[in-house]
This record gives sequence, structure tokens and C-alpha cells, in this order.
Amino acid sequence: MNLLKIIYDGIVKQNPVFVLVLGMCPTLGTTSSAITGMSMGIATMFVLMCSNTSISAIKSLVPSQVRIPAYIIVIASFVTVLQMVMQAWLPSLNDLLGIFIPLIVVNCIILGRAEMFASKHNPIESLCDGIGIGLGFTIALTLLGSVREILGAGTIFGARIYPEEYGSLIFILAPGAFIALGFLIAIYNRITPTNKP
Amino acid sequence: MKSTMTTMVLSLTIIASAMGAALGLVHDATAAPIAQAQEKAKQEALASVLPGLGDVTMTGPEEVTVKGDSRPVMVYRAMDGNKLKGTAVESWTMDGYSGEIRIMVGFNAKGKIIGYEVLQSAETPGLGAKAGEWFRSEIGNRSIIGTKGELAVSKDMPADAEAQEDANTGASTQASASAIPIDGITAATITSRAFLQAVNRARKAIKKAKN
Repeated sequence: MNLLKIIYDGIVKQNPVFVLVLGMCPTLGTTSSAITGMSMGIATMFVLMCSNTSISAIKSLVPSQVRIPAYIIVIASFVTVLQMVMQAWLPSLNDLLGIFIPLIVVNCIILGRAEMFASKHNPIESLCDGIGIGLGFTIALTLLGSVREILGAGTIFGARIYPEEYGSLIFILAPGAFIALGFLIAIYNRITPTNKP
Repeated sequence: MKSTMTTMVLSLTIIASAMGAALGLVHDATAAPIAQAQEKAKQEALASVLPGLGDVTMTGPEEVTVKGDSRPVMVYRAMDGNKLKGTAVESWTMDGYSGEIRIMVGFNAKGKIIGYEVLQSAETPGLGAKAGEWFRSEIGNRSIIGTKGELAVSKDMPADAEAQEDANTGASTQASASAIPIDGITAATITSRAFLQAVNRARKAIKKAKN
């Protein structure tokens, strides 16, 4: 299988947010601004690349009845590594994302890709799938975060576009996350011809 | 691989030990940088909440538990020789809109607030997260800088009678008439109450630490 096609599929055809609709908890929870959405996407991408590669490498050594616990151990280890690294060298980002970093362990995108892809493909292909899905997740979260930040606070990546008073707060809060996500999914599926029935 | 008892136990044991060993290595590599990063953040916060004190040595932290609390606050003293120039208190509240808020408040030797920093919070961006700037703004009664005494959100003042039952504790939020009114953050009254509660806790801790 062509490696570039795997990455492209992860970003467009199987975009985890807009097409697979996986990982909704961090999608809705961390996208109150563009920068937090993007950071969450990159953090998830890192874990996904590591976990996909190593799960694919050990897939023939794991008995199928205990594969889920084995995958969870691998994923949880990488998430812990990520958190320790962030605490050491990116403490402000770690404070910003808070509880959502340890929660990457139970992000269904990661377990989903381990089960759907990594356990059936070789490590290189699985790494590419991790990159593709991770990029797709990062792009989706950045988009959603930007929309919410522009409509809610009048800024994008902290740069002011229009005075704060005209922003509608609902987009910063949870209901705005659902509304914005719904519209983004609708627009996405209208402009990508690949998902026509 | 076939799932027999032996292979299942063996494979899980091997994976868990390998991952445990890897985590140990990463922990060893990051322990020192994590401690450094925390120490640096603390020093920066101390310097920021105690501005313009000149050449002082920081002592502490001293743990002080305010009456009725289950958790201490940290008190740092800025000393010039034997003379107290200022006090910084690392205080907390659990009543934020999204749980815990940790702040550091700086007082001068006379007990006036001269600076503050929000160290950690998960308040709503665009609303409660403004606390880091709001309470030093010159507009209206927003600023807590220069105050000396118990603080309360102005709409909780008895004269305003907009006080209501607190969402977390069910107790009335009405402030005592002697409190200094501070304008709360627009649409983030819960955060404002929690923030001022943490500031008041810091002030009580100083009083207690002196005795």
C-alpha cells in the first residue's frame, strides 16, 4: 500500500473528527481557542504515532484474547512519557491542557487505530497511519478552535480581529462547541466528494 | 498467537515490564528538568508579585493552615537583613468554575496587596480565565492592588442584595458590610468569588503566621 495514500486517507478520507467522528471528548473540550486545539492535536498525534508503530511491531507476539490490555499498557506508557516531557520542557502548555493530557489514554481514536489499522499492517504503514490520522485530528481541532475563538472572543491565535464586546460567548462555552462542530462536519462532507453514498 | 494461559500471562508480563522500565528511564531523565521548571516558575511568580522591593532574600516556604481549612497555604517572606519587606502567599481555592485555582499574592510590609499571579486554573477561556489581568485593571473597582482588608464581589455586598445561594456550598454568598467591594469579572461571578476567596485566605494566613 502506498504510504502517501495512507497519510492522505488519514487526513481526508478517514478524518477522525469529520468522517469517523471519534475522539469527541477532547474535540469538544479543548477547542475553546485555536492554540489549545492545535496543541491537543499535536500531543495526540505524538502518542498515536508511537502507539501505532509499537503495537504493529508486537502484534504477532500478543495473544488475541489479551490484546486490548496489552494495547492499553503501551498507550498509557506513551501518554505518561508525553506528560513527563511536557512538564519538564513545556510547563505552560501542560498547565493549559491540564487533565486532557492524561485522558489521551482513553481517547478512542488511538485504541481505534490500534485495533482497526496497526494490528493488521506493518510498522511503517502504521506509523504513516498515525501521522495521517494525527494530522487530520490536529487540523480538525485547529479549525474548530479557530472558528470558536473568532466567533466567541474575536481573536485568532490570540491576535485580535474585532473588539471583544461583539463576540458571542456561547461559542466559547460547551453549546458553541457542538454547534460549530455540527456545521464544520456538514461543510466538510459537502465539499469532499469522497463520502457521497 | 494462540491464547493459552501461558502465552497470555507471559506476553502481558513482558509488555508491562518493558513499558515499566521505559517509564523509569524517562522519569530519571525528566525528574531534574521538571523540578527546575517548577522552581523557575515559582521564582518568576515571586518576583512578579513582589515588585520593586530591591535586594531581598526570600525565606520559606512556611506552611500555614487557616482556621477551618484542610490544606495549608505557602508563605514566603522577603527579608532585607532582619527587616520584613514583603510577603508572598501561595493560596488556593477549590470553588472555581472548573475546580481548583492556585494563585500567588504579594503583600508589602504594611499588608497592602502589591501584586498577584494566577499560577494554575482551568477557568473558561474568555470568561473566568481573564482573572489573570482583570483584577489589576484600573477600570472601575476591578483592581485588588493596594487594598488592605477582606475583599468581596461588589454585587454580593449587602447594599446590592444580589447575593444568592452559592452553587457549590449552598451557603449565601452575601458579604459582610465591612468588606471592600471589587467588581467581579463580567459573566464570571463564580470565578470572581473563588479568586477573592483565595486572596482572603492569603491575607488570613499572613495574620496567622505573624502570631
